[in-house]
Amino acid sequence: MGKQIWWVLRSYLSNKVFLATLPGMGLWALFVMAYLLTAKTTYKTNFPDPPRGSCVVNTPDSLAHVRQAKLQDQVDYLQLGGIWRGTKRQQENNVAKAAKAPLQVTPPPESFYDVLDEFPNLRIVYADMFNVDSRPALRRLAGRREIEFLSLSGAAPLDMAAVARLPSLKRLELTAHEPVHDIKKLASLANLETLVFTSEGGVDDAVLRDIAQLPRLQTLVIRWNYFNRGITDAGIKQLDQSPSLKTFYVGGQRVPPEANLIVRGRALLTNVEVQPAVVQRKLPWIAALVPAIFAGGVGFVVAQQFRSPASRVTPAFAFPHAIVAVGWLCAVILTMSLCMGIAQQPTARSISLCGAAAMFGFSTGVDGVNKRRLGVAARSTPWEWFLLLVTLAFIISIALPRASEFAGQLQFVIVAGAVAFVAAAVWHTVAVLRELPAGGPNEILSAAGIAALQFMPGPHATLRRELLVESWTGRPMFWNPWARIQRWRTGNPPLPSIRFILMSAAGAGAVLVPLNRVPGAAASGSLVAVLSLIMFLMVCGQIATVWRKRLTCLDVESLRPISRSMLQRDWAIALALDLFVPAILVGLVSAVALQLRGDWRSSEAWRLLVSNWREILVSFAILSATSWVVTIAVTSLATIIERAWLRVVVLLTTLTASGAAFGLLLALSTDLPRRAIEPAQILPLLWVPTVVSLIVIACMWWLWTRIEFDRRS
Amino acid sequence: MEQIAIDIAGLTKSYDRKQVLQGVDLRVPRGAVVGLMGMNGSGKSTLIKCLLGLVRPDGGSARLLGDDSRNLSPEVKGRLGYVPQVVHQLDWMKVRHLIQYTSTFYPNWDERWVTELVERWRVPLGDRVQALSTGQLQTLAIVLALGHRPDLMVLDEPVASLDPVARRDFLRSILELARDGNRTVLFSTHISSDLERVATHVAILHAGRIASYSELDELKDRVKRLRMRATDDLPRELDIPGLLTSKVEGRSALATVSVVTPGLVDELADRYQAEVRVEDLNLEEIFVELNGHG
Repeated sequence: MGKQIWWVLRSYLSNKVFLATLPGMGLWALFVMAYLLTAKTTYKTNFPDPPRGSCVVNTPDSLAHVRQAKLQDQVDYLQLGGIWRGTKRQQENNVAKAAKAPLQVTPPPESFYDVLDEFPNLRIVYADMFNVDSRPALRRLAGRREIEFLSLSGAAPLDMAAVARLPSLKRLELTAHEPVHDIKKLASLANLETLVFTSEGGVDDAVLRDIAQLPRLQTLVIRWNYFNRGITDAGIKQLDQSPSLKTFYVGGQRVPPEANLIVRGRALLTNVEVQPAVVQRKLPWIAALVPAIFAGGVGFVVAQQFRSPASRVTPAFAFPHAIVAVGWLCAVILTMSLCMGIAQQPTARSISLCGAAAMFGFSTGVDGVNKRRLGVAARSTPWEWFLLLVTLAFIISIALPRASEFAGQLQFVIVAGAVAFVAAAVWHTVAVLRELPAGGPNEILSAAGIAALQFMPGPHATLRRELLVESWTGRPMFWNPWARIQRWRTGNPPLPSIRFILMSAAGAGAVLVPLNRVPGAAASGSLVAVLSLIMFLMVCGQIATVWRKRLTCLDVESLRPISRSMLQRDWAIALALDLFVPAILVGLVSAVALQLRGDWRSSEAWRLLVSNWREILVSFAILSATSWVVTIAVTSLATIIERAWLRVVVLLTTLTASGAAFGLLLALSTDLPRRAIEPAQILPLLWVPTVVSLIVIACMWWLWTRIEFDRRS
Repeated sequence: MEQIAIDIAGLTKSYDRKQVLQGVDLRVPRGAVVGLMGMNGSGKSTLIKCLLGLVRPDGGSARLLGDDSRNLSPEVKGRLGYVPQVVHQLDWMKVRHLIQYTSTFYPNWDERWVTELVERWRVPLGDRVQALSTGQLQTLAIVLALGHRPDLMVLDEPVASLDPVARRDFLRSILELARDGNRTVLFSTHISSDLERVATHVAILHAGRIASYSELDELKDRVKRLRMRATDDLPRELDIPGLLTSKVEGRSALATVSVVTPGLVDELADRYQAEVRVEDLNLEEIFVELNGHG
């Protein structure tokens, strides 16, 4: 047993392809560290997920359900805004069917606040309803001993005296347009540890002086939407006098880079730690991209082991190596997930993402060893994605009306979906491993030897292409460069790219739309962008495979009566054209998704799209052009380079580059760096690897493509 | 029109540290049908690939129809036909579509000639390329290479996978193509009987060099086996000019000589006091002797 384990390990370690991944993994580790440095030190200021086991009322439906089941005593989490906005929306939809009109939220009548009296055991209360006066709510809450968390907003001055009558209050969030000058009245609250200003309007130097005198305050958060000129360096310096303040989180949207809040704060305060304040909802989705891509990369690397000459001749090679491959991939996914903090998310969406990552890894990796299986996967993967996503959506949709009242139930539903994902991944893996023949997958490779067959998208596309070829009778192609390029492209089999994208998009839509109805779990634009990027990468993989197959005919094709330089140029343009449509689609989907920022309600979405068309156009241009250019280089290299270990190096380098580039674009288009950390600090983290990697890619592409193509044509 | 179709001088090529070609010289006149023979691994395919510009040689030069092989002009490529040893085609296509696709590259594509070849060789037009057998695939590759009636055909073991009937048909087609005396054919093969049917010249590649290159008839006239029977025991080492191989057993000996002249026979008879009989060799025997395996 020990000998066999050592044999398998030694076999992996002697594989050049495997070893070549180590530098790539180092690069990824650096990338992850950069991510952790920027993400871990942030402070979450908007709706936190309900604590596990909470009984939540946040929509009219959940309110009705709780009333019907007479569970008022158990409710401890209440969002007044959600109930009021939901009620207004129901009324509008019932009356005017005005689905596309923006929601007009008017202040609720005094009687609306009677709902507070129904719930005697509230611990967490959101009384922030846009710019509505919160004093009626405060009057009803006065003296409640259970309330630990309160969020207030107000068109009128906030009544701090009423807040001071909540003895158990630990955390207070305030949205105010005028400085809250009576904040010193909170000094009587013995448990108040955290004070959050969700906008900069409520703070000036005088307020900071009062805050510094609060006896128990440990954490102060000030989110600035604009650079607040009411706060000076002298005002900030007063916080150093606080007897208990430990951390000062500062920052926000649209703060100009020259504000340099973190650096300034750290220079002024010696006794208080200064950290950036950020809304962190989108980060888990972004983080999911990393293990997904990494798992794919590792899967590919592991697959190379099955392509080694040893796998061809060694008896009983496949099974022990497959076991190690599974363990290796699982360990990588688990480690990455833990490092990225995904596994710590209270909801189980992380599990589903990891499941998807695992499936992605195995699909691209283990399938990659077997061309016949690769073809099956190329055809079946869209269906798998589609079915899984629709199943998940179906589960959520059915369970939603009942589950939304209770976070625990909701989590159960998402866990069920996640388990479905993971089960599918396991099933997929087992199915693939069972297909491996005893002598390794090369048996199948040599037996089949036909990759193009696998990509047949169906008789119609093939027939169309055949009719096109027939229409060329008696029409030599020399004279028209465009016709020449089209004919080179016709030599490749038709790809199911468009069908793949459309089906995946439909599947993703099926899960995102119902997910958007789940409070606190709204699907963000970043998720859609990430999904579209993953799909794009898979399509590019298909295109690269087909062109790689085409290169086996290079001996014959390069002797067509065309000059060498013309052949190189024609093929480069043909490849670029193949990648054009996917790049345009991914750019469009990502640009729209990022602009909507998770708001997929039809009325809001339409309004956002119309009003922000210029931003969408710019994002679309940047994303499409970058995707196109990078993938042309990557696909060319992956296609033309023969040595596998070199391809792995290229792949990992370019993945790093595209990951950094995508992170940069995402950050720029979602204001992420301005919320997460000072732009001066985060931008070098993204710009430097992006620019360096892009230069490296360009050099590699120019050098290797010329050398290899020249050598082989 | 150029009189020399192929002009190779001092061509060298090595893979890693193994020297495959060690200064190959070869000049093929227009209209010749040249058979290239050599043992496995002797460098036939490498020579052909260097000749066509598919592999970059380390040294020397190769010219094809007047053009440097590393930079063949479209015009010269349009006059070339090539069948590789391992045939890769666009295998998702049906055969007739692949023929159609290939035809669009050549303005002088001869539709009637191709139709005739397809019928003669029973190429299944309606089948997908990936469904063809190895022999059918090779037949198709030959059809595609002949379709534009090239001035120079380069065939790398084209008949290795063909059945005897197809091989005979193929050789007939080569003869038809070369009948006008303007078209040149270079093909490598191990089947010497085929060469004897169609080749005008034979080049034998041995240890990275051209060991012999001449017209076929001249080669057969030149290389002969001498059967000697002496009155006394013969020396173990025979001293014969152009000796390729020899086998001595007492008073009898067999010797293969690269150039036999009438004077040589008389001289040997006098020198060894032996009866010397000259025997003809077929091409296969000549190939074996020239490679030192007699």
